[in-house]
Amino acid sequence: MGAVARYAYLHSRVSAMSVRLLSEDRLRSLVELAPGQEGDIFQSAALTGLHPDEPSEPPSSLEQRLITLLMADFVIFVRALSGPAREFLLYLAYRFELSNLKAILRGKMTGQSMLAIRDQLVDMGPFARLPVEDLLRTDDVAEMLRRLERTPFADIAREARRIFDEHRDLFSLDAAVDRRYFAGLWQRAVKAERGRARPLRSLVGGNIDRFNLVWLLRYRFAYQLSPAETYYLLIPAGHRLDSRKLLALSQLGSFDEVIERLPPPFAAWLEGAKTAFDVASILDRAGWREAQTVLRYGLFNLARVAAYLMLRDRDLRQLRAVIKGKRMQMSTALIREAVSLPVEG
Amino acid sequence: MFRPLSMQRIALQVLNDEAALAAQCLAEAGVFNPETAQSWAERLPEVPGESYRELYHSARSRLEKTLEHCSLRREWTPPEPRQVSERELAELDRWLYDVWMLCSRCQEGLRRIEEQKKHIDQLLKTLDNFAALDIDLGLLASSKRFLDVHIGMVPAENVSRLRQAVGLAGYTLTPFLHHEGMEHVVVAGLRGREMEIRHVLQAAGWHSATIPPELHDRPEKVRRELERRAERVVEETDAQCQLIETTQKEFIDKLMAAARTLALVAPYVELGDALRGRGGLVLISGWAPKEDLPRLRARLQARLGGRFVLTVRDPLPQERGRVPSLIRHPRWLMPFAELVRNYGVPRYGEIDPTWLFALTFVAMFGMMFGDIGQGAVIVAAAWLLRRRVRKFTPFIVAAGLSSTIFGALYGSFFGFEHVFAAVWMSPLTDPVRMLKLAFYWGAGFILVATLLTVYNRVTEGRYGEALFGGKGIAGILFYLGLLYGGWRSIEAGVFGAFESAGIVIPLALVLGYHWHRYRAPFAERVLVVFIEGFETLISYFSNTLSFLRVAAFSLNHVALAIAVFTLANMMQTAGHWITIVLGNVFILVLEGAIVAIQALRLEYYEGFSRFFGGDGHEFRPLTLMWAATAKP
Repeated sequence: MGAVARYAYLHSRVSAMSVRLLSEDRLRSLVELAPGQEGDIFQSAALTGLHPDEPSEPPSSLEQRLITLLMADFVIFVRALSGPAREFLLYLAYRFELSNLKAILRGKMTGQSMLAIRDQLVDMGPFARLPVEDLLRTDDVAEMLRRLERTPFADIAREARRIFDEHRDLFSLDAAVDRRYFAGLWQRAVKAERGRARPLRSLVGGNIDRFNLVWLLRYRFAYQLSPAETYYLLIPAGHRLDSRKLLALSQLGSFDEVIERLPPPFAAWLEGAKTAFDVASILDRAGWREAQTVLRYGLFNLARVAAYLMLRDRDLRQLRAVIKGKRMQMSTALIREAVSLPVEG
Repeated sequence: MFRPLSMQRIALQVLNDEAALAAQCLAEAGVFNPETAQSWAERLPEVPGESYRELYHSARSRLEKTLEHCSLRREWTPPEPRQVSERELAELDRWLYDVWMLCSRCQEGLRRIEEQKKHIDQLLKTLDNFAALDIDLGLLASSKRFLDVHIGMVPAENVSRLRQAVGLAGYTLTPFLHHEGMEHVVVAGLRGREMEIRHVLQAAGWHSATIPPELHDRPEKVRRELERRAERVVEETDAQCQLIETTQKEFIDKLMAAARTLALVAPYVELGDALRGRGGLVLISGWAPKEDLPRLRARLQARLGGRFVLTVRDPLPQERGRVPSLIRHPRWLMPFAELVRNYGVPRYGEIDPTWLFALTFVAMFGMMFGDIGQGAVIVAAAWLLRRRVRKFTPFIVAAGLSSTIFGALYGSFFGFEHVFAAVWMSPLTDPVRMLKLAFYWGAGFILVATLLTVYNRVTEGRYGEALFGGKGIAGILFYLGLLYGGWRSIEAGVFGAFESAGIVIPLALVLGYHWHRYRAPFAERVLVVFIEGFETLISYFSNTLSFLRVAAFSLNHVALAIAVFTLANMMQTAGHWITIVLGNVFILVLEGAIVAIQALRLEYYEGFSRFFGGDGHEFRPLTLMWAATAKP
């Protein structure tokens, strides 16, 4: 079956759903409108069921609603796919489950109560594979890790055990989980994409580049790790930053030197960036631009679906920031900054 | 018997302190299905017993883990109802925590032993393969002034990245053995960056393999030492297993008592939102069958004395969709009910199709698979395997008996047509007659199914649909008109105005009803009404033709037997009888299964889909048994 026949339905579906995505103008209006007046924008973005004007709602509840909205989109696309393409999309959704897993691991290792950990979790609905309730009901870390070893997350359990036994920082656990996730995502993208054009690989690879670069800067200049350890902790994949380039960048001695030695187009994009946070924001925007290009010009491929989901995820994150900002009565300028909108005046 | 039992909405008001006892009492009766009382939410805003519930879930989780660890099966003896206080529950939870921590430590011990075993195994493997390492092991073992050497194992997937990473610190990595997903490697480099390399190795999941000093000279001694360590590990495993056994013996009685206590608490916890309260009073709401109310009231009276108020009422029309369905079948009908449930649960007030299903399924199976001998084999097999097929025994026996009866009508005995004279006729002697009969059977089946649809719509108050719907009276008239017109056209060669009117008028009523009901722009309305009218016509037509398979399979059964006999006749005596026996086994297994599936398919698609909503709620009573589903 050709790509046109295989993706005809998804192509139309993505086109129909992409009108929901928030343009910069709509996002700006959303930031500027008084609380309670955003109804029209919410409706056009298919964000029904949100109660942004309910300040008593706990933050986890808002998070849950947003994830539920995103999962609903995932369900629509997953149903229409099979084989490696379906596997790729399921794996993409798996990211939220890893957030749950990290929250449980972190919570248990730092002795948080079951209720406190549960508050940080989101319901994955049909995508759930983690026995959350069983893990929460464990009485100590060792038991939790033993229980986790009986799930598809056994490799993460082993890694967590090692970190726990060696009393190492929890950030290395987070990094290990993310590394495994992105490496797995890359493998699946490669498997799912046939043909000469490789927009999915460039989309996923772009994300991995961003992750690698930001963490390279953090490991080297915030956590002061050695070049060898920094390099080892990066993801062995990427679009513009391959292993050879990462190897070279890991050995550089300062933040500015790394930025200077980056290959194009990073050097131009990141000119003037002073912190890893700046780099993350700039690369986020670059990733969204690329996703928008794929969405606009892509034809009958999985990359369009992935691009739509990336942008929808961005919208929902930005929306959460706007709602939270308004609830906390932050200034419009501050909210604009939080959602990466250019600050006027 | 033909409809779910009449239900009553129950509101039980009791003192907060006695709510758990009331829940036990309701569970003991086994006829109360709790349901959230949304309408009471404002007046009774509290959902009492939150900490009590949390204690229960915690204790239950610990008990289940302990029972699983000790491989204990609960032998159930229903507990005597009594009040379990929050303090008692908290103490039980604490005790279960202590017991579980003993077990958990034991599990952790076993896990570490397992890891040690693997490690020793890897070391033995290393020992076997050090020969493959082309360097002086004595040098590796000793501390060097300029050289930093590490020997150990890393997960194989980490090797290539680790090689590049250690390269950045001026080290080299040389793998020398691959075993069970682990790569045995030597990492060496100049001294001065030991800390750096140690962190990288840790990040890569490094397991150090120390080289004993005597290895180079006396590897056999090392092997013996490793083997002694392996023996010690086995001894430790035995000790852990002994500990499990001791725990089991020491705590079994107390654990069983804990299980019984928790079973008493479970009904209260399972009430969930069906329990609401304010101050010292609580209200428990739900459903119970009307016929069981006197028994329930008497039981409450016996347990709580006069300290309760029980109000009951009929379900309101707007509640109909939420009322649970409870149908009590005789035991022999249970397997048929199970297959009906497989399709769906009857809505409250809807006709329960189990009886109709049982009769028609058994009849159709016999019609399609009529053979005295094979039917008898099915009956005998069901009886002999009754312990394995359990509640499905009556189902298989009924199908076998039906096959035997139809076998007598067709005069077939293991495919032989002349052992018994046919009471009626062999299907192959007049296939057209068989097809006609199947057609009449199908038409009758569809008419009965559609009449049941009409009945269901009337009970639901959907009168318009019952009268004018495609599966209503107008639909039945349309179908009868089609049958009459077809019959007149074939038998008398006449299809006049009367016959046309018999089809067109009811169809017009059906289309008119759809037109009236569907609100949309004109073009869409025309399209939808046209498609729905077309679907009505096609579904009656195709559903009826679908029943011709009943005749087709009865003919197929005879044809298969003929094929077996043709093959058998080509052989000598022994081969002849072996072929007949194997052929009959083949027919029994393969055709038997196909016919059962086909009969089920006809029931589900031609019958149930016509009149049976199947989207009702099953009646789930509170019971004193420990429900596995009761999770937070």
